[in-house]
Amino acid sequence: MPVEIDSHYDVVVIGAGPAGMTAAIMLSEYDLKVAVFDEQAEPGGQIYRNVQSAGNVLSTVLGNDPYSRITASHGRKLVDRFVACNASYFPQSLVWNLESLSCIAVRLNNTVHQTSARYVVIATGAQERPVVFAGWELPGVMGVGAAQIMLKSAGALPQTSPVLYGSGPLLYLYAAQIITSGLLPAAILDTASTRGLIRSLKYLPGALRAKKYLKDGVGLLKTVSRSGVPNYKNVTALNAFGDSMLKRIEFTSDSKITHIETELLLSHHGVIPEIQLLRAAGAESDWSESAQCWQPSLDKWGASSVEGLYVCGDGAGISGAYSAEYNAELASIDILYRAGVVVTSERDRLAAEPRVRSRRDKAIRPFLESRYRVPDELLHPSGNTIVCRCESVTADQVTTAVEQGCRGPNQVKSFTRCGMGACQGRMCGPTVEAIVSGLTGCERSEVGHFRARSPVRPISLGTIASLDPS
Amino acid sequence: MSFPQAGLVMFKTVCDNEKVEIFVDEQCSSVPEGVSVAAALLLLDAIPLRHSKVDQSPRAPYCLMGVCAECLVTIDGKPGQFACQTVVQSGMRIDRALLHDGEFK
Amino acid sequence: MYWYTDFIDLPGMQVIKQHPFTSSADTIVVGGGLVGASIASGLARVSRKVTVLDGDDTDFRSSRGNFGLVWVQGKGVNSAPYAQWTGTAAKAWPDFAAELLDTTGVDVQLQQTGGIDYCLTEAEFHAQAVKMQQVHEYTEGLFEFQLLDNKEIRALVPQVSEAVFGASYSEQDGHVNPLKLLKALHISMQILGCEYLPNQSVINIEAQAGGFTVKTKNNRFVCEKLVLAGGLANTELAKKVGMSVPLRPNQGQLLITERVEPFLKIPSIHIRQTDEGTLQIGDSHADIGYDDSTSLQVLAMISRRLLKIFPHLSGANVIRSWAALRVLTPDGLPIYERSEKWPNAYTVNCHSGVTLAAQHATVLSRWIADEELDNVQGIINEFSAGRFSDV
Repeated sequence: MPVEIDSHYDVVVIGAGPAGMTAAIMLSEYDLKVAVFDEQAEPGGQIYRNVQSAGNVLSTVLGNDPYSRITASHGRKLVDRFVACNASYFPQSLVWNLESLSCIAVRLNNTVHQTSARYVVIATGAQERPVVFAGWELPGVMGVGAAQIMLKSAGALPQTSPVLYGSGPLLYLYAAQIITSGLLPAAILDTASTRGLIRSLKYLPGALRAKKYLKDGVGLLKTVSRSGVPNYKNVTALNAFGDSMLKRIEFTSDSKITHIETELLLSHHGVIPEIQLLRAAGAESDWSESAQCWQPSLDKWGASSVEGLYVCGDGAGISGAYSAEYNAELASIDILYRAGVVVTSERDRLAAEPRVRSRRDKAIRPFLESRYRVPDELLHPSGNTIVCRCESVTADQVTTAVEQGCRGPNQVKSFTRCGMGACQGRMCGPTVEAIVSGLTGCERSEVGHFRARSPVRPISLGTIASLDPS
Repeated sequence: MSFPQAGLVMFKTVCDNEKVEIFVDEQCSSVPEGVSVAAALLLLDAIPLRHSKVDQSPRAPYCLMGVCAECLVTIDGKPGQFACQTVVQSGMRIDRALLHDGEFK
Repeated sequence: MYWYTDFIDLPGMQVIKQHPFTSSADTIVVGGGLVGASIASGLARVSRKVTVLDGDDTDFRSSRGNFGLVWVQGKGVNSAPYAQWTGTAAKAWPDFAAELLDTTGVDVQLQQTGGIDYCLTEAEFHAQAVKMQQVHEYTEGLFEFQLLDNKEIRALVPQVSEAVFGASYSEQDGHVNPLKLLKALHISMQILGCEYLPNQSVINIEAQAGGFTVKTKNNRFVCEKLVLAGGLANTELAKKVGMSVPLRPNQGQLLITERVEPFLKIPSIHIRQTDEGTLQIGDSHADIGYDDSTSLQVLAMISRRLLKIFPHLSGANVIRSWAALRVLTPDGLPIYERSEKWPNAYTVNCHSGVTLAAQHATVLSRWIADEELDNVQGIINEFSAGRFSDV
């Protein structure tokens, strides 16, 4: 592992999940000088988290769950290839400022290093879609993604039977994983509407091109239904209650109000690209109505609106771990071409296979997006429900700001402090946009989004000051 | 093991990893090696791990992947650190950002 | 009159929901920043029917990026009228803040507890001393200041490093929360009856006998009186109504930290602690055109300088940085201008939208409303754009 960050690289890759690792492997195979910066202590990203050191953890907990075993085995191979490649890998490093390709600021060991690159590949992955409800800030309410990280990184299961709330593949994957390991969820509250299910059927033929996913999905659903866990459908109006900890939830399912006493509620509503760094770098993003999120504006190679800046993996648009590898290959191939390493014909030859695979792999997305579409009413909270956890700003306060004339998220932020906290608007941004859109009738694409700025994660004054003035 | 403002133990590990000792609010605790500080605090009964500086409400980690900023604690004297992005080290000192008699320490 | 077909009870929604239309107002204020909102509420207070056309959410908005100082110190080095205007504005602030609280329920957190300008080196200190003395003399004593050595500084602010050489201090200085001020002004002007229309960037103005036609992307507005308070956009807009308003953007970068324990009662041009507890840190200047991106080297420079003054803040986490564009005239003083060709067109331009807010909402608005103002006409004339016509 290198100790020093050089002042220049051919390519800087940000993130060491499947996309970042794939790009680093491929680019360094062609002798480009590559640096990989990643926040975690080990490579793998979220999907292959601790796949190296904690292989035993997963097998202990999950026994013979085939899905987890295959994923882990694929991930381990990728991590091994990454570790063996010639890219300089800097774990526990943070690219917090990306003002241009010639000015990339990295925090490593509480010191800032400045570096530059001809090309930058952002592979920072996804975040869980924040869907707010009354009481979601209570201890005892967490993301399903967080619970799965507990499983992958610490071999840890909830102490008590959790209630799982939301929709999407990860919700059922996690349910199946804990059921396999002997813990039954207290209930599953599925928010996917019957309408969404019907709508999704027209995408089913296309999805058949990605049979593997359908098969996996059916397997997960079977595991869950066989377990006998109560599975509430068409769930809306969830409220979480408790003084200092979660005690009880209340929700409506098929028009009937139900109460459950629980100390752990795990929420999941799909994932969205984490594009804070991309935005801070000045690259453009587009609103996707089908995916219900902002996605980077990219060409077919993954090149963004900023010259030399590429995005791949889930950060380019949610498509999963395998697609992440394919689109990382495509981005790498274009970089090789633009760097003069391969000629046009070679580029197109190299790209043929990943492009076919990528298309096939993504064939499931329209089906999933419509099957697990988040119902609009969940995206428009009201009353005292906290929208901005950091600054404790409520839905009412955001609504009032709109009534006072705020027409965009940035003016709402100025009026309410919503988005000014340490998460930098990642948790409240989508909700603020949805509220503004809902009240004004403006399309989400017109409403816009928070402007992202450096640092993309809080960083101390002392660390910033440590930059070499030259 | 118990903490002054003890909550519930939310997670239990079923693996017998090597353990390291850390200090949470000056109490010595044993946690699995290689996990994040946030994971360690969830495995101990160290929830909530902060109170909101805005409305004093108790908070716990939400995302565990560096997004939500709910897990900000003081690590080895440095305040405002993301517990979920920091791996536990033997001897590490972690102070939760809790209110004591209505005030932050 | 507006022609509504689809009324939604939100400011500006009539326009958004409407097809292109023409409307007329008594007065149109172009710009909904601190300056525009101050003027609009001032005009509404003297019974003008005002429509405010504001820009888009992502426009350059110095009102959302500024530092919030109510600052007298060092202002008017070469201009006694400016020092006087600023000094009067600072004195008017307590009543203004009280009135805003009363009208809108928003406490803008005015603190006039004095202000410090830190000097790290002896050379900086001497230069500062000369400058302050000049202002003192120019204003014939209106501006009061003190020079402090390190010990005196630390008596006021114990956390300051022993390495700071000295400082100038003026008890006339202070600060507000500029975002709360913007919000209060917006609420105030709407309570007073102003029509506020966001997302209406002005793309053209036509002057004709008896009034103006103001065109935005989708709409057209007709008014008798026009006030341009569009910040840097004023240069172009003013040309349409026969005025020359030389402005340039001057970029300042700022950092904001997480909430820290309250310790800093006295603001300076480098750092102030907000009522929420966050620290706003800044003071960079760059003439780089219409560029509001931050730069690593500048952020590091600001941080280094700040830590020389307050070493104990090394561990404070920066949540965000930003850059905003100051609206600067060639001499840094305001431009208040009435068009000679189209006498119902006015323009208001200044860098100090916070400090001067009380003046803009009162005296200046009444001047625009054609009220008799014998005692201030002279001083307003001092800020005519005519002063640049010889250059």
